[in-house]
Amino acid sequence: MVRHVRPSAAALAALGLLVACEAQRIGALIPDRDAALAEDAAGLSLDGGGADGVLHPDGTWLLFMQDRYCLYAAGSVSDFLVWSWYRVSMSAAGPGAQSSQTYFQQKVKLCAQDQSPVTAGLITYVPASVTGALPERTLDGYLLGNRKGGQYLSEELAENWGLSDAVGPDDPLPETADDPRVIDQDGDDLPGVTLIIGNNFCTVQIAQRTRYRPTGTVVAEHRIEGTLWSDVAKSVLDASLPLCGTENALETRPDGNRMVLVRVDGRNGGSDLDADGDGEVDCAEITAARERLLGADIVVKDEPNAARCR
Amino acid sequence: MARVSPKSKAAGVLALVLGAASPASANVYEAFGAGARAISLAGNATATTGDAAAVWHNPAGLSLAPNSVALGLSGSFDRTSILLAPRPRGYDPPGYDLRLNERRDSGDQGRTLGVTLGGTIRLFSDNLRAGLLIYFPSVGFAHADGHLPDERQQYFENRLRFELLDERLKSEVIALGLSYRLAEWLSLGVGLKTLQVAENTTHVYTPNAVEPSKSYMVTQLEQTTETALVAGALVQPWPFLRLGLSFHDEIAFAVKGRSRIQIRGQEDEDEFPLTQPIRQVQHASVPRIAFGAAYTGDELTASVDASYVAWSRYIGPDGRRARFDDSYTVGSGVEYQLRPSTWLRGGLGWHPSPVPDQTGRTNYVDNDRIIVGLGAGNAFELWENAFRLDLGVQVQTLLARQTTKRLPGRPAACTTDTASLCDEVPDSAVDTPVLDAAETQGLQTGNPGFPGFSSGGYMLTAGVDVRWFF
Repeated sequence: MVRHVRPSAAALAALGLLVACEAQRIGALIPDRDAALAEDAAGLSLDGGGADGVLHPDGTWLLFMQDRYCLYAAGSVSDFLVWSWYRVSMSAAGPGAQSSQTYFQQKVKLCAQDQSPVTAGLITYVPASVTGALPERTLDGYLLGNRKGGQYLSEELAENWGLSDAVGPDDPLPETADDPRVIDQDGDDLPGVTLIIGNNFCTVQIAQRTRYRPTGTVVAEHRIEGTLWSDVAKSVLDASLPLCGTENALETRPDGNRMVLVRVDGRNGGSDLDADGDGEVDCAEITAARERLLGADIVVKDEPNAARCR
Repeated sequence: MARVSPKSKAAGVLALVLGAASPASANVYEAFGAGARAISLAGNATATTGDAAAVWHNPAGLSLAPNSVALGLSGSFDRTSILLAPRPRGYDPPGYDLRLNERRDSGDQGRTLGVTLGGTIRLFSDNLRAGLLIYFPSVGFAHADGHLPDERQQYFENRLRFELLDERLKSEVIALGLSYRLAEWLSLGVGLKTLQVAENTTHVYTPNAVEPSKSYMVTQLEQTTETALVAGALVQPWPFLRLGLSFHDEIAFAVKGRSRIQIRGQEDEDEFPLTQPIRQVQHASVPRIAFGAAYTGDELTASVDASYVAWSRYIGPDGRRARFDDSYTVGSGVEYQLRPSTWLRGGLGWHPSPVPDQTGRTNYVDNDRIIVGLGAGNAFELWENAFRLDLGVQVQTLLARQTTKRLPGRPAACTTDTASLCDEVPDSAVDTPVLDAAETQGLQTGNPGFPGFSSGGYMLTAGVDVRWFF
């Protein structure tokens, strides 16, 4: 499915020049005048409250996954990282053979996905229209030991982007937009889903399947850390600029994959991301809290390191 | 009698020509070059122009032009953007969230397309030649899409624009020129260009002041033409060296006029009818002097161009001086004759922005530009007639620029003369029925450029010309 394309050095140089001129939005330049206004609503807290030392799955969690690849595109290779932010609503399904074993159901919804820069420093942005269109998935989870050192297992999470569910986890992906299995999932009248590259440098329509199998260890009653097996398959259907439609090759580097499952409903020592105080943590609240979570080191993004792929 | 050297004669005649010169206009030719050949040379053609495009680049170059008619098509693909920094809280004027248009970024201005018709002809003798150049933009003639450069823009589009690109690229060109070859080594030329000026008077009678939508209106529209002059000289002291000098004076497309408003019940007021003046300036172009020097070999022509542009005379869209800096541009072009009938061309240019950092009230957006052009030409025969096909592409990269507004210690009220970021709601010590005093303290501004913005991107231009020689 994946093809290698090596554009000419001239095309790369031109692309580099164009990227150098791209405007980057500047952040907050002048602080809010009224300090009281700057306080976040509803006492949003990342500190967590009291805890009893036992992990109770019931409630709302954030599943943060980092999957890492070597990306071969435009004649160069780069260390490519994908950071996915999932809202996970857990409910216990029953005890295991021992009292410390727990089965539970996980309702998993992608809230946001960030990606590291690719060729020539361009970043691919996943619009909210895409994440919002992906359905919530229900997965089985299993906890072997509910205290520190306990093991966490999850059923595989397979997501089809711009594809009907007729495409199974091991099926080859459609190659063209006129394949009936390609759907306009984000409702923009274009096949597949539309991603934005650079600061509106170009757009690209893709069909994609992602597969994740996270596993981890309980490190606190509100936190599980671990790794994941991942696989991504992608078909480029169209692009607003030919350069952006270039097929690329992804080589999985699982040693760079990581997952963190953290409690975000404020219970049992977890962070409280319920900014509007309605008793629920939704995707908008998780998305808005990303910078704060990163700043507090509750989740951590690794920096791309091109040397890893050489 | 003292003998006058050829160079002294040239300098004297040139001084006369420049002294008599006047206006030119802003358009795609100013931004990219006139025609496919100039596009591929990155607009550097002051000393090497030799066809109908000479009317724009240097009218003296018409003396090198054989009789011909040209038809061209050119278009630009705009990938520039202006990204606004997020507004801090606490600075909104009352009702800011009720603006007709929400404050927004600007990007992907779209495409501009136009057709060029040009021709050159010998008049009476080989020494006297005339040229005509017309650019028909796809949006039509006398296109006007106004904006305001400061906080007033919040009530209209509520976004920023690239001041020296954008709408200026949608202006038509109607130009003609004459050149006379005084000697083998010296030619002089003058050109005339025109732009429309619209004068509009709207008479309004409002029978019910509280229901202004029910008004009677009569509009009087008058269109006049403003002309401009371009002048130039071409000197060839040796066969391998050609020097060109051209001068463009200022001109602008303006919409002028007034609204005269009668409101029933106000007949006794001192000012009746109420008069609202209109002055909207577009496509303003400033004086510029361009100098070019070219090596003209058998197969290779290489030139360097430098221009002085008097941007300090630029008139903003609200009809007032924009306080830009004068600037210098430089560039070069190369044309190589690959075969007797085939030419390859390339060009580079550097156009620094004349717009100072917009830390105060105004939001003129502009960037330094790097210009790269490439192209080719091919001569051929068809039905025993000689033709030439020229192709040119050009990329202008707008180097990314960031602007941060400066918070004034004691913000001044917004008046005609205020240059700093201004307070749209004067501070009040007492509550009013519509406004609490606390809401008026300090700076309140809905300026769309506040607290800052970044700009950049690129423009891709392409042109194709077909020329018939007769």
